[in-house]
Amino acid sequence: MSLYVQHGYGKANKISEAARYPGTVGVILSPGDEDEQSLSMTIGRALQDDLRVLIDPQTYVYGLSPGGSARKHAQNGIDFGSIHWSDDLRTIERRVSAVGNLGDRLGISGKMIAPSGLQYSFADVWTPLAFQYARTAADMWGPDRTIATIAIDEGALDDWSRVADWLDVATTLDVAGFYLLVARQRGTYPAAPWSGARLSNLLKLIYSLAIVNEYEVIWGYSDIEGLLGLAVGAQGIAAGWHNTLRSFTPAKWQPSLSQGGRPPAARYFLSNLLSPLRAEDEVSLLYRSRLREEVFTPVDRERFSAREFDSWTRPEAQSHHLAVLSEHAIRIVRLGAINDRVAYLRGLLSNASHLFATAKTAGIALPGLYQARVESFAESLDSFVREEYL
Amino acid sequence: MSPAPFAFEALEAALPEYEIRDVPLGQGADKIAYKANKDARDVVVKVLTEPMPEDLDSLDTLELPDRIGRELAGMSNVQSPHVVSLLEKPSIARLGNRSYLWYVEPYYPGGTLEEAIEKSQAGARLGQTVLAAMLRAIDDMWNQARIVHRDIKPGNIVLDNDQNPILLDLGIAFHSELTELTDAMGVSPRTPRYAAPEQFELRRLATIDFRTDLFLTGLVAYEAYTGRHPYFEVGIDTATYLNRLASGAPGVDDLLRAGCSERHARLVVRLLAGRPSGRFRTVALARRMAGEG
Repeated sequence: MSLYVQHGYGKANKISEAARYPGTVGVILSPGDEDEQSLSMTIGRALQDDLRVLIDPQTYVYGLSPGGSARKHAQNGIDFGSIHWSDDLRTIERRVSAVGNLGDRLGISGKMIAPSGLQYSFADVWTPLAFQYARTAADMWGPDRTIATIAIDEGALDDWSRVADWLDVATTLDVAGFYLLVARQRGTYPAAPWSGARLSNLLKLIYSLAIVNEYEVIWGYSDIEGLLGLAVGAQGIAAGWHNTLRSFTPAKWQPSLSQGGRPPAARYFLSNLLSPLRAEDEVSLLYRSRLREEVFTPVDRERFSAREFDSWTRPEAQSHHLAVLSEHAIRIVRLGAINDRVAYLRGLLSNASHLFATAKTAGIALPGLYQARVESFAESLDSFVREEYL
Repeated sequence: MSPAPFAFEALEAALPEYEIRDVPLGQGADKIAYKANKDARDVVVKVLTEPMPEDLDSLDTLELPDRIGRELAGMSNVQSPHVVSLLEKPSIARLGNRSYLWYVEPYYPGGTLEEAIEKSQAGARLGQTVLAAMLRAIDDMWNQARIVHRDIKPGNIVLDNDQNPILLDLGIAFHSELTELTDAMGVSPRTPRYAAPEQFELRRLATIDFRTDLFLTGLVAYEAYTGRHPYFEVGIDTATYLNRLASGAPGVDDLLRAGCSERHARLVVRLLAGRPSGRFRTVALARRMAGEG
């Protein structure tokens, strides 16, 4: 089991629903969205459902420029105002202690995620601070209870030599694992295809931490991309109900002039395409095409044999998304060996890519984003395999 | 070998409890080693060639040359069946009209690993013995005293009566509490053929840790199994050699042909990863893969 529900706020019974999916292992809670009382109730429900509970302290919010904020942090005792790369050890200890105290008040007895800032590169001034947070947390909570946070901008992954230098130091940390967050540009859902070597370098980073160095690696907000992480050794991936919980975009914590807008269209996660398409138009179009048998699983076909796609609701879409992700996750993890996992996922991606190409040839107009994403996944996996000599 | 700065007779007279052979076992830049016997046990008496200050009050205030100081500190602080230890702590002896520092180490009759490889004794048995012993030595040095040896090579590994490998010469060891030793270029000290990639780089102090010794163990274990260095060959130029080091570990084929088990072959290759993060993050993990510890 390897899927975490990346929870924001809302009723805990949704978590119970996700707990029934075979690949769901736990929940990652947001103290920025829920106060202590709500968190406590959510934790109680999650524990009843036999889920592991982690709390993301979201300290990276306070290193953003312009500065970010989280509305419930003050009530949870973890509003740090701003953090700076030059913060002294006493300040770091005070913050780690505040996060630890919140965990204690909520009755968290297992592993805890350490605070950290967001790094824009693996060699910037924030890097030593991130290490110091991890070391301080390990010192205060114990190495076996500490999961260090790696919160990076995706641009940090461009230069592998920098990543490798960072890994040489990171692997000296005496911690149980890493909570990995990769900030992507705010944009549409699903997120834009990964550029260049970034995703491949990220996979190499995960492989080095999880397989070579035997840390527990949990990739937060990873959504479908997380399946690649699982294939190369990550123990956990995470996705939430809403689009904002399926991609790590720190901008959501920053001041915004946005006045909101239309609610997003309900999507349907087509397992064979490894993509969440808009149900009402894109999925409907495929269903009415000659590709129905290839694109839709028997379960999909059964589901829509007697209903229209415009009747597919957002709550249904949210639940279905996590269910499909969970199924893929558990299939990958059950394969065991990395070579087998990668080969399996490569097969899924190849099939998805082929289906998108066939749809295009058949004149079915789908946004190029989906195919480009799947192809960037495949290229990254291929590059990973080549560079790791698997 | 330049003559000793003191008369052998003076040494005999100063250490009457030792039966010392007059022909030295060897002489380095800083010291002379003599085979000796005490209470029916063969030992090595080492005497520094640099005389001590005449106004020395106590050994506690003595400022030894860095290499000697590190070697003695290392031998004093590490208790390991595979790391040379002090049999007798450093003392001052009056030899002629000057004072000299001397100390005693065990004598190992089995010769060096280098000699064993030259005598074509490389193979599965020697390889496995060296691999397990050096991993234990690294474990003990790092976990007891935060010491990185940095100079693990066949010439620094001797075999005792039972053919157990013992690691000698902690002279360029890195003690995490001490100032770094570097050469004029700011590069970590090393023996070039037996150095990890990070030892060739400048300002890499942060990543000089036990994982550097893991790489060196990979080198000597590979040689103990196969009889040859994994990267070096006669006539190779420095750039090509460094490129080979950085480009990753050799395959397992030669190790398997030498009779190495697949598990140990994968272990040796992993020890030879070009980056410290590609090796093992604890010695215990490496020893577990070796079936030790």
